[in-house]
Amino acid sequence: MTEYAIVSENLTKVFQTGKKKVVAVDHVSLKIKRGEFFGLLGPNGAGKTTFTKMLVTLLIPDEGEAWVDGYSILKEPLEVRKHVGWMMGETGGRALYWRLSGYDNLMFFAKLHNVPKDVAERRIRVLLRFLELEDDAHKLVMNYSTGMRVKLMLIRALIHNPDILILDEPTLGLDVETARKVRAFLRRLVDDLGKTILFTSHNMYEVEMLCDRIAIINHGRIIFVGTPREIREKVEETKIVEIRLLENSSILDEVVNKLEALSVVDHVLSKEVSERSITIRVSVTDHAVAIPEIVDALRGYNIESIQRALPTLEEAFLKLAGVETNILNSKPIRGKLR
Amino acid sequence: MTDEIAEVMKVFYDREVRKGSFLTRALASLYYQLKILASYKMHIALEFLDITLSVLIYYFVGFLVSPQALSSLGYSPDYLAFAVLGISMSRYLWTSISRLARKLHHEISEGTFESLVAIDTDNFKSWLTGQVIYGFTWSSMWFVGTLAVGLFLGAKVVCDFLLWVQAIFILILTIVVHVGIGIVAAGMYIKHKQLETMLFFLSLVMEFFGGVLYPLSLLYNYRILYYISILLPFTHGLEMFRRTLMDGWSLLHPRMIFHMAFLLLFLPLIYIGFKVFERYLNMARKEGILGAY
Repeated sequence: MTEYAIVSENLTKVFQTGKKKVVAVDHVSLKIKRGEFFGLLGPNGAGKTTFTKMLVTLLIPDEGEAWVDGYSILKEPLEVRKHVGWMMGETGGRALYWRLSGYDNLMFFAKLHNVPKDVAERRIRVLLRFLELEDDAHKLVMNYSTGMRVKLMLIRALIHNPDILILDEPTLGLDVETARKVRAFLRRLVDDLGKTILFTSHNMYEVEMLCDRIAIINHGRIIFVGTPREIREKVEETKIVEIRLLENSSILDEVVNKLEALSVVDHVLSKEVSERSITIRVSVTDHAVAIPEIVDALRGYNIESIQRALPTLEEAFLKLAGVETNILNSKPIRGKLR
Repeated sequence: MTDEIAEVMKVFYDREVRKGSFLTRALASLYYQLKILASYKMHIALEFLDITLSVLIYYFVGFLVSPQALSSLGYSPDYLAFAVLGISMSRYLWTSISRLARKLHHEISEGTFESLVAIDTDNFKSWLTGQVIYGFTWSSMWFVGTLAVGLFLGAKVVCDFLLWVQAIFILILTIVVHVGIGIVAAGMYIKHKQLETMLFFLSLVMEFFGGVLYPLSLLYNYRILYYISILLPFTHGLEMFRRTLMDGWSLLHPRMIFHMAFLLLFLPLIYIGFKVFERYLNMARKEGILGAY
């Protein structure tokens, strides 16, 4: 048994659309250790899904090779599939039989995977109860909500107890409480059972909380691999000041206007409002010059702290992926990352 | 929540031995397909109406065909039995050829196809087989229904157990040969996403040249059409099926031996079908069009 659950070497996929060639995955080499929770991040169209589809043998690469649980995706696709549970993303539950019940969907796939009937029944029952689908198990999937279908697809990926899980946005469409439950459950699968999870998500909070390591992919290329902390340190040259004021939200716009008017402030990166305070993160050209000027500009407000800060994972991701950080101005970050 | 998760973890502690036969998986595919069918109640009702109306049409057409005319062409003088057996067999033909391609079209548009291909057991073959058995089951229901309505309206077929066993054997052999074509058609669908015209053309050719509604001897005067017709496996399957149930010919009859030999020539089609399908599937995996429709 190798040390790595997934190894890819120069994995490449090119799609031909008419006369145009699109390199969806460009010589990607990655090593994911056994028992690792690994996140794959990237903007839409970056190559995440193409990469994962090659790993589950649904796509044949044009170049390169990959091994899943030690088996070659090119030479031993059936062995690869035996060791992988795959949950496809962004389908809104399309990948289920809508005219079968949730229970029948799961039993059908359990049978195709040769899972013994008693084991399948027990596993399905326990997972349905855990994800609060037990009462709806015998309803047709066509009557399920999006969240219910996502839960069902997650159970299906687990039905044959694979060592490696490849999950494409497993919490997309789930309510906050269920998403929290699913995250805790997935983490335990890694910690207690030593399963390996390769996971894609757009939820940075989730990625930072769950993943041991992450890779950032953009335009089909891996542009960074490391821990969430390493990624933030990598973009440390992005100088950020975090301002916390013990004020209510009514003065937020006024404060933001004052900060934007300062020449030492490049961008307002995020604004966060809580019951008792507001937190604003700005990028600056020089901490030493900027902080006194900000203090001066905000004199008269109840300042709790003004300090240098590391970029959040989201800010780091956007910078590494080459996306302009000031996009964040039009899309405030909800929740705090750490 | 921690306790709850600990409880869930227990179902993953033991590593079960995963064992199951090809047939078990194929039957699972059949069983859940029948469950899906049962959820379309209106469709089932309309199918039974279709059976009744189809037979009624040929019952009245039968008044236009004189018993002497049919006898002069070498058949028992019962046009209704002739037509009922022809349309029943053509349903099997249609299902054998089109069932898989249509099903794949459905699976791809529903988004379930990639999940099926990702199954770890036998490259999808047990699922395909289950769908073929489903097609056979559904066509058999159609056959029984058609025959029942036909008998009620006065059609006459032989009532000999051994001859019926022979007829079922011929039927299964004919289906197996045509399923090979159906599997190729399904593979072509995955790659080319082209369905209706191709299937319509295929079944039209088979039905026209196979003599579903008229005796093949009518084509004697059109030699090219006649030679095309005897090159098609369906022609021989249908002819043997009819001769068994209408005229009581055994497989040892010289003309039956000729037809059987011809049909058996096409038997490797099933093997070729699976090979071609696999090739198309891999082409689609290469081009990334498994989920596209």
